[in-house]
Amino acid sequence: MSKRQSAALDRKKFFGDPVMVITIVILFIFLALFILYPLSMLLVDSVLIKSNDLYSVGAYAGDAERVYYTENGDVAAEENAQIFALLTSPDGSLPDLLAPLYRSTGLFAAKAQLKDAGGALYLKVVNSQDKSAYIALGDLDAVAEVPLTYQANNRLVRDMNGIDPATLCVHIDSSSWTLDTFPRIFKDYTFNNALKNTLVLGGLTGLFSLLIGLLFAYVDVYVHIRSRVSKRLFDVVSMLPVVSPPFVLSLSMILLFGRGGLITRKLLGIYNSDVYGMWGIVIVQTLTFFPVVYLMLKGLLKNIDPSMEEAARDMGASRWKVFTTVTLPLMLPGLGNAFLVTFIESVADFANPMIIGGSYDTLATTIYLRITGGTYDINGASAMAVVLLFLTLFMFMIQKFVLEKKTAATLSGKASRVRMLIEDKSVRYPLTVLCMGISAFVVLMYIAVPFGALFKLWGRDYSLSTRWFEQMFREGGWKAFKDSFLLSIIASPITALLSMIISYLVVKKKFHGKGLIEFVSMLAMAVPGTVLGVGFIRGFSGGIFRTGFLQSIYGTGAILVIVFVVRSLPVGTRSGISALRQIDKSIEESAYDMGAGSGKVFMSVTLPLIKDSFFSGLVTTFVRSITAISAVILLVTPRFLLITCRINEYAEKGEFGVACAYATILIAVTYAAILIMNIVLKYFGTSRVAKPSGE
Amino acid sequence: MKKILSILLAALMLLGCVSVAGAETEFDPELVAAAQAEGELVVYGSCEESYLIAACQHFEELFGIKVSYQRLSTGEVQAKISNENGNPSGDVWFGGTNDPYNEAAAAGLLMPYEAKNASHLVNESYRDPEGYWYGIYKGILGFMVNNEELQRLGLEAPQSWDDLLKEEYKGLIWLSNPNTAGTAKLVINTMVQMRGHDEGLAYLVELDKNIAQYTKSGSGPSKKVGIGECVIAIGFLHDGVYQILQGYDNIGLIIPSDGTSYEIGSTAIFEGAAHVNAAKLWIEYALSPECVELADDAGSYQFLVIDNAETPAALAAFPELDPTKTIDYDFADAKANTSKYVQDYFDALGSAADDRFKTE
Repeated sequence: MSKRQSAALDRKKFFGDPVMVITIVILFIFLALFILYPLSMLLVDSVLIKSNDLYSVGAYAGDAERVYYTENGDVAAEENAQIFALLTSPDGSLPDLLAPLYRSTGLFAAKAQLKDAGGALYLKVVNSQDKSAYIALGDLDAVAEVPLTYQANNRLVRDMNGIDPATLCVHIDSSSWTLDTFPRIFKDYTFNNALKNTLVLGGLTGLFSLLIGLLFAYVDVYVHIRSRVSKRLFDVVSMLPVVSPPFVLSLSMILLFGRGGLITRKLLGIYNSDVYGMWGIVIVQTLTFFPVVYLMLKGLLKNIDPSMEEAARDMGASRWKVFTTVTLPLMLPGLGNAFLVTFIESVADFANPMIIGGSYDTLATTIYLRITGGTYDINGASAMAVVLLFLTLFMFMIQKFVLEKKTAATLSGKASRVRMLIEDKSVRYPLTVLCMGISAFVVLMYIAVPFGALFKLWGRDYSLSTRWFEQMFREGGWKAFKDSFLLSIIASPITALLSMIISYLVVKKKFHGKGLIEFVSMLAMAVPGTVLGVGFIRGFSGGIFRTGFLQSIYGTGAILVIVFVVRSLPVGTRSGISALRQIDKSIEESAYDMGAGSGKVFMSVTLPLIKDSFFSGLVTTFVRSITAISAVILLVTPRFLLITCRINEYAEKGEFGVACAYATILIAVTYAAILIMNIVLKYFGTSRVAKPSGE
Repeated sequence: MKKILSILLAALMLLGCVSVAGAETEFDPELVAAAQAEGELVVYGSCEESYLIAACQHFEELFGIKVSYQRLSTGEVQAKISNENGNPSGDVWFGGTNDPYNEAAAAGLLMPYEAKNASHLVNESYRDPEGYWYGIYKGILGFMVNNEELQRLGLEAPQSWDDLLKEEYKGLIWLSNPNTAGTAKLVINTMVQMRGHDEGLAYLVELDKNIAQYTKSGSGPSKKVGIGECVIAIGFLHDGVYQILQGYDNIGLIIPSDGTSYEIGSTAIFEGAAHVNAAKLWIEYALSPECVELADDAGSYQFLVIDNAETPAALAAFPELDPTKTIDYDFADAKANTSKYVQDYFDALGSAADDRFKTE
């Protein structure tokens, strides 16, 4: 009884708070419109087949007298009956079709009736653009009014003069539901190959990232590192992939280790090195994603209570034995978690396979090529996107609902005391040297980029020049930076505020659909950029549900900003939730008690308390947006030049100098943004220096 | 190849002396006024970036109409426009081979326009009879080779399409992807026309075994020859000329001895374009010396197809690159069947790849 009463009270309180109700409703609409709707359109496209069939108009097929039909296919006899024309397939492969006839009244056409069948009659043909074209069946002179092009005899014509009606053919679009697309793509060699490649790639990248990330985390937490340089190097290495656009490593891989690479060719004299293909992608992806694993595992290892391991050591176990029997089992769920996160990142990665993949196609690139390609198989591409989506969603579910909980259960709370660091030289030296080696390699890869921009002609003339920078600014570089910068800077505060609101609602409020909001905003993390991009095209190019509503946002900056917001929302929300969980409810409740509404409480109490998280969300969104490519490459229009798309364009064409010039400035911009964030947090933040979590 | 290089150098010197200014072109003042009233134009370019930018900037200077542009492969433009349901995000399409233009015209994506300046086209084959597209330049399909690499490997440069199938070239050849690049579609059509449908496809499947990489854009392979990433590139030779002038003097140009075809770089208006008059003005402009002569400065060394403009002097000195030494390319066949041939190609490749997959 009291439970019900309190629930009723809660409900009353909830609805008595219009600001919050409106916020929640708007939030629901936003999430449904820009995350759920585009994804569901993909599902629709994968099962809805559109076909375009050729018919000849029955009434004119011969020189017979004109006959019209009723809806049921009977010969129309009754006056005022709505009349239909019989369409037949010329090669007899399709069943006959009855098409309603329209009578012309100038610009408009009304349904024709038998009594006016002698006038200017039009057959309404719905073309691929969902607009109507009319073909005259009666008075041919009136055809000048035909509002659109239509096809006759497989030829596009604008007016009918000179066309023999007896040979008149029309194309009719029809759509039908089918589940054939999935069996079809599962039989498709390209798809199966891409799927296999994607899985192999994800597994290998996940495994290698895990190993290297674990090594780094272990050395960082367990081993005494003397030199400050190596500590600093660790920080830089864990930071670099976050600030750099995703394909920079691919670029430097080709520049340094390719067939004409600086290292392979000039230093080692190797002429047939082949970086294109699976191993090229694996190396580049591992170097890109292992810092994420490193940061995740570092936090995990710090939480392991040293006394457990020391107990094992005291009983005579070797370090290796302690590591394998104590440390590793404790970390197992965390390792699985890190593996899956990397796996998802690898599977969703578009830019690296695009540049360095060679003929090794992954699902993300295959989808892109299917859509942009001449074969233009939108159903197939949508079905592939659905498969890719389910793959990442499945991983995401395991990661979120199984492994994350287990991690929290085995490793909770803080270590009871400071760990004794390993001083043993036989452990310290090899591990440190290994880490330094890898770090140096990563740094080398990044240094190659500015030099790629400064060398006069890669592979021929290694003198310094500014010609590539000059070419960049001559060919729209300035506009690209302006556009990318502007769109990202607009997306940042929106995302930061939105993610704070979502995390506030999720942590502090109780209402139906709360779980849904949390899930949907996190969902974007599991949606590969290419899939989201395709969804947005299918969902908005013709307006919502092809009605034309909201079509105007397609091709504008607004849709790019929305994609940026959707892509960065999970990161901001995750950091917001963890920040909010640390704030005691009573602080806000006292504000409520003194009469503040939820809007006021949020703005004046909660937000200031989590401003660190807000600010890091701001910068993370900026960085992620300005370096984003996979989702926007399909959506960008000439009105906006984006840096990342430009880099991709130049890199793909082999103009590495200009690509490197763009990448150099982009890295500088993002690094500056992060630097500013750290300075601001240091002097104005509530507590610690926040680190953005990488893509 | 030394000979070609010396000729090229001579041509470069000539380039300095030849005046670039063509005859002043008159534009219909009514059209100009209507275009200026619209005030804006969105261009999708499938030619070289620098040529696209030069053309757009000059248009903006001439008429004071704001031009936005983006370079995309022909396939990407096609996909984008057909996906946009008659509400195209661009007004005109500029450059790139014309097979995709024909596909787009057949799909109802282009708007016909009777251009006045089309009268200057040297030949009726450089335009669509119904006015869906107009040719602006012409490029020869051939091979670009890295002479240093070939020398190091102890190989002769391939001289014909058949040579490309030799075992020794395995992993050295680059081609563009027929999914995205019009250039690769032209290669497919050329092989089908030269050898017949089945033979042509069989040849391409054989060729696939020697190919190291398929690039997204047609000029992709040519860009990788100079630095040695790619040893033999299949593509348009004017892209090779550009690379040589950039400083990669190790590139050799080869026209296949068993015949080749050429592209007609085209321009067209999209059906449903938002700025129709500006788009029409663009077509007139694109067919005038004002626009085509920009190609020379922008490093696009194609043969021109209008009679009142100067062909880039660098090319005039290439008797080997004579555009008339080509097969009689059947444009009607290309117009009707390109999509089908590309599909056939992938089907053939898929089953061949399948077989290889099984035997391993």
